[in-house]
Amino acid sequence: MKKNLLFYFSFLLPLSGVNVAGPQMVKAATPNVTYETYLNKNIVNPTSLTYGPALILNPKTLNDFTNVDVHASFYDVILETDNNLNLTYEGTKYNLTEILDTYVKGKYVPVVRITDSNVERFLSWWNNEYRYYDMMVVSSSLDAIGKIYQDSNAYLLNSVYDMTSITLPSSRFANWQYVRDANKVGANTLLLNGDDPNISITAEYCQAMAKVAWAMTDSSLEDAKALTDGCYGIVSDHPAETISTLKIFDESGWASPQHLAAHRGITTYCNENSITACLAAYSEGASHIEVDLQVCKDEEILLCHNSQTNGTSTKSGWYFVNTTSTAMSGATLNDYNERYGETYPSLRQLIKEVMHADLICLLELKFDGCSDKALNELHCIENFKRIIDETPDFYGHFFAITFYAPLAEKMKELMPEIPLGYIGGARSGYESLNNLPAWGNGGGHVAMTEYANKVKFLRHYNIGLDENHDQKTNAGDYYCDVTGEFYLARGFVQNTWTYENDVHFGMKSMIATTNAADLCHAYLKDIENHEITMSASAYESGKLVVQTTSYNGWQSERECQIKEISREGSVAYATLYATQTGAKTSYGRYSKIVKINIQ
Amino acid sequence: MISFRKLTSTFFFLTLLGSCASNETKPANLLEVDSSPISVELYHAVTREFVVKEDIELVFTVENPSIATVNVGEGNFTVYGSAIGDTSLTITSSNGDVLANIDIDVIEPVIYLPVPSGSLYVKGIGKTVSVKGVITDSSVAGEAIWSVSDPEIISFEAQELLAIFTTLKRGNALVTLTYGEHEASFMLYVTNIKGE
Repeated sequence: MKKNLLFYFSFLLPLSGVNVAGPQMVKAATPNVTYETYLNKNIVNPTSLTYGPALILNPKTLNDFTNVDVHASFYDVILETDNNLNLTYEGTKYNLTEILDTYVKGKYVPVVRITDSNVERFLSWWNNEYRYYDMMVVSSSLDAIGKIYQDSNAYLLNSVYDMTSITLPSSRFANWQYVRDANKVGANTLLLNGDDPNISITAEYCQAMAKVAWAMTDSSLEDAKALTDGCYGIVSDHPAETISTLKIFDESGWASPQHLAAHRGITTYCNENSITACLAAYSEGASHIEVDLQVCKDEEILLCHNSQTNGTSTKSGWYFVNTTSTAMSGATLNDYNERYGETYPSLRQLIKEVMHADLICLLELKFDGCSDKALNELHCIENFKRIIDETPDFYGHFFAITFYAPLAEKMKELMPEIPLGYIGGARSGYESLNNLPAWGNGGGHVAMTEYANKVKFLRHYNIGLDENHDQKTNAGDYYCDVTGEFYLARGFVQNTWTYENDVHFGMKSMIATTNAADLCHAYLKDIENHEITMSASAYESGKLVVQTTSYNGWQSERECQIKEISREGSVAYATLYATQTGAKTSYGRYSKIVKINIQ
Repeated sequence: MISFRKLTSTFFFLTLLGSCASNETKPANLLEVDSSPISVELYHAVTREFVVKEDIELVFTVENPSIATVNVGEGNFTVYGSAIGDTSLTITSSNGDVLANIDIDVIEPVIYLPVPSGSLYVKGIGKTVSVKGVITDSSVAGEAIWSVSDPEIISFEAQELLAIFTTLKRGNALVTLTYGEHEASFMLYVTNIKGE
């Protein structure tokens, strides 16, 4: 697909002091109508889950739009347009503008169907007739989605990759191809078929890679299953039944486990950012490790939080950008214990070791605070790519996060398939040297509650949310708890950092980066959901003892509540619910759907 | 019991007491050794014996010492696997006659323990550490059995390939996971708060 020429040059222009964004913010002809308001809805969530789900209406009739209960609980609405951008309800055709103005504006976030056949028409309509900012698009065509993202104005419409016609793979990492292809064109949400037998594998992988999985469902059972399979959005054409079914999740907790990212590995008994620390994270039950990357004088990449060796090894004052990796091997890590006899591991070593373990890496691109030297002399991102390309199987086992805009821009240019997380708006060394504002091309850092500008910012960089959790509103609520529903409805999941205890289990965060992953190793992660046969009296007791698994894999029996979803004769479908008391936070956990044969 | 420590030498000279080899003896007949390929697990070692029939100097050379190293003892040699891959060991006499050529294949260990340095150091008493082994060859059958060399230093509870250790007293203990015919181990050191 053709790209805006300015896209190619936008990375050169900052050197000349010209502030440009990429995709390029070119002023097109003034549209007839501009609607810039972002809907911030107080949703009546039928569940009591700690985080999510977003409910997306797939209307069959116009009454579905106007139903009071539906409006209260559903945040988004799918608009199935045809080639002419018309929609048909009960045999009557309406144009998109009419539906937006009459049924959507101020009530839902529209998610417009685009195809290869109507995408140009859509772009023309959106740019020239009705620039409706708070909108998403959905398509099974990656090309069509890519055209939206490459448009100089419409790029800010987040997109949903419709995979409902794709048979989902049975192995976890086989889903990388879908996340990769979606991310390349700026899509943050994958729409899956609710009755695919492998939906839980894809949905979990989406979560692990900071993407959102929606399930298109056509029954109440599929609604409940979608949640417990790990989807954070339900697209429903039976909204009243969906609302009723989801009320089964009437106690707080998680329908799928919260992910734990061990911050610099496990540092309770290992040197930080060491291979030992990373592999200990696997043993302790973390799903991810968060490690920091630096580039050396010889363009090799090593793991270290700081730009120099002070505080982490036997050497002091050695700067990575001024020292070869060979020389760095003379430093022995000692922030925890020098007796490990370890040095700063290389990215290559990390790749080799974590391929044994079932870990996803959050690779924090630090690179000397994104100094000009690291960026332009030592080509940190080019070398990052070069090293990873040596082990192509590592793709799909990591995503990247950063504080620095030039690194985000380089990633978008060289590795657009890699999901990227925004940790915060620090000013890079490169920007300081060139007297540029931090993240200036995207308008600069904005707070989570500056919703409209935040969406634009995230779309500009094709970046996700991974900000620190400490910030609170004046009312004392964590920001991520206040903003969670808004961003989730628009395909942005929230990941947060860095925790010293277990409070994250009570917060709207999908991946919690924590220094306390090992302290949570015994916490409840999964509840067994094998088919069960039980007596009628036992079933009526509403309780059942089943095998549960903690984060590190330890199995134990716990008593669970039976929360019935449906029953027909002697066959019931339920989710099992148990609670975990933690040091700071207690939480509940729902099982995947269980089939119960009642005798 | 195999330790995780790496051997550093790549070849040794061995001088025997006794008369020189006959000039008429063929080189291959001077050395009795099993020349079949050696398959050794990463970070493990395999020992083979040999018999030298005459008083000659032997030279042991590993083609790629980054993959394997060899240590020679009295009538035996030990090959240690340093990295996964293939290499070979050549045994020559001091005058350059090749006496034996043995292929070496360093393979992924059947039991992978995520303790890369072979040791864990835990400061303090009452601390817990989880270690989760991985069986890399699904065709290998067995039952996972954990053991510690000194239960006064650390206690543990285990479920299959997962063990949770609790530190009891300052000292060290060898932790071993056995699975069928295979085993892997690491040292767990319980130190004081300074790490000593």
